[in-house]
Amino acid sequence: MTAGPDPVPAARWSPTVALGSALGSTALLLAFAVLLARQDLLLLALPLAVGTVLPLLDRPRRLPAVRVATGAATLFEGQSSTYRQRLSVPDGLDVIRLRTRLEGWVELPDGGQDFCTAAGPDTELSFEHRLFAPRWGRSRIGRVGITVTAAHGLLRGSLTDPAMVPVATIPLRAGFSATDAVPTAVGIVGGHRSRRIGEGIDPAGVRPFVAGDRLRRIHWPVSQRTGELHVATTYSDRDTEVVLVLDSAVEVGLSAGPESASNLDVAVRAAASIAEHYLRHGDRVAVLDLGRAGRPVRARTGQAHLFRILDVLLDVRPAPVSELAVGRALARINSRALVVVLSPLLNTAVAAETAGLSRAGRSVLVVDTLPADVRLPERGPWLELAWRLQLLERSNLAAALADHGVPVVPWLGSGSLDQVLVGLSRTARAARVHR
Amino acid sequence: MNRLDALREAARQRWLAGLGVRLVVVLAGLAVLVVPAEHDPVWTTLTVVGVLVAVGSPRQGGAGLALGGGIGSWFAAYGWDASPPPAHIVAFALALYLLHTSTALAAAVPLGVRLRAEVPRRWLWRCLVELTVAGVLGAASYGLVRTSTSSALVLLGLAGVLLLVGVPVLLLHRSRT
Repeated sequence: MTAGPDPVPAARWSPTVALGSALGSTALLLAFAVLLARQDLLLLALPLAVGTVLPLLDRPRRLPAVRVATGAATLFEGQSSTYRQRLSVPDGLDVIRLRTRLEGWVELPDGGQDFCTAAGPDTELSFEHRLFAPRWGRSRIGRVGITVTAAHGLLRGSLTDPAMVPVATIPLRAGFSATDAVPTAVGIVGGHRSRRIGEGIDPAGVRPFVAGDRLRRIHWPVSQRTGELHVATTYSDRDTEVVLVLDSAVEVGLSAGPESASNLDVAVRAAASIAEHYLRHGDRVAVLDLGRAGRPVRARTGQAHLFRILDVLLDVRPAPVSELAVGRALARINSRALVVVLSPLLNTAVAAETAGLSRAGRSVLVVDTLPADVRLPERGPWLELAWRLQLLERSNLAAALADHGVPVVPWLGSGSLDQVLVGLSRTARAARVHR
Repeated sequence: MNRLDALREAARQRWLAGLGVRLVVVLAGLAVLVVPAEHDPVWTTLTVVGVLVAVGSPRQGGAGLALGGGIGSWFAAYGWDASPPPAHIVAFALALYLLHTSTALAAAVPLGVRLRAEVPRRWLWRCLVELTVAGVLGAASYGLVRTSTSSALVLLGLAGVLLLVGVPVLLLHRSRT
């Protein structure tokens, strides 16, 4: 992606302090040389005089122009790309200082953010720097401030190129996989085994042949042994709908790349991984960010939908959660969907709504997104005590959710949801008492 | 090399460039102080203060103060009608020029900014050209004065003042219009 200015702007040069001091000193020396008829003073003044007059005779008239570009518009967390600056210098310049503005989560670790160079007349310079994206999110790079010093330090000029190049850093997807057991499969085709006998590949058993059975389903070994025709039965394949609910009410912890993560980092990375896993298996995935409960991503399937989800995840920010809006948004969730709530369990309202979903018969599980070692900002002597109280309340919330039949699992990457999903599937298969 | 070491190395390189330029300012200031045969406390103090300001904040008028102090020291050391040794003249002229030009470079290169090799290369080349021209002119004026009277020196000085003041004013006026 490229951005840059168009024509070279008109130069606006201003004299530096060096010009004033050189002029003053030389004039003083020459004046005394004349008044006192001293040749030594004339010789002292000569280098300063030449160093003033020669550069000014060869002074530049135009300022340089810069064009910036990045090697890739989209990066993964921890991935590097290139940041290029093409500098057009119409007139020779002694010092060109280029300062690049970085907004968001991108870095130029090899010093490309602020450096000085020099160029002769009619020169095209190209600089390539490593662009590093330590954390997911939307970033921008550009708005290069150019400060030039010409005429051997006697003149100075500056300009700013307002163009910025956007860079999207999508969350790291850590090869997540989960069991294909889902509590309630809703579609008629897909990668999950349903509870019903039908067309599929997972064997369910062998039963006597009845009229209407397909001949290719006849199980010949059993038929031969028993003397009666038997057919092999299979479970039908089904797909499911997964709703990822992001609790973005608070952000706890220091968000600074892969080494240090906040609960939002964990939630976003987990959501990206889970979404990718289920979409790869042909399921439908919806995303509901509670900070923006009015703008859910509806359940769809396919690769394009994964990109859409990743794009929405880039905009997740801590935002106040309205209890009413959350209640409305959760109530619209499909009754047969698997609801995965990604929450640090620090918000009572979110926990209450989650318990309400479970009471309503939905298959709900909570992924605990609070990092194992939370770095807290230094804010007074009571912070540690307050945090311990908060953790106690969090434990109570988790226990209360478990009492409501909502399993709470920490996010540990691949396989961390398997046991819970199997448990939820068993629960869903169990006979229910209908009143 | 891990990321922390790489960052430390980059920071070291950045600071080295700015510090190197400021070291040249200090050395040139020392030369301005040392070359005159005798030292007057007032001019010496002014020069030291000027050099310190030039090193700490090159965009201020530190270099001008140091140059003025150096010129005052020159007068204090050799009086109003003496003729200093040629070696002292050459060394002091070089010191004044170096102080001026290194402070101008320090003003353009803030501390902590990476300096590419083209900058000192181009700067040194210009210094070499200017010193060569000044050397040729100095040798010519030295020969001219030895073979003529003091009226030639007066005319030469007046022409120099006019040239020095007139050219920058004219050029700056043109570049603004």
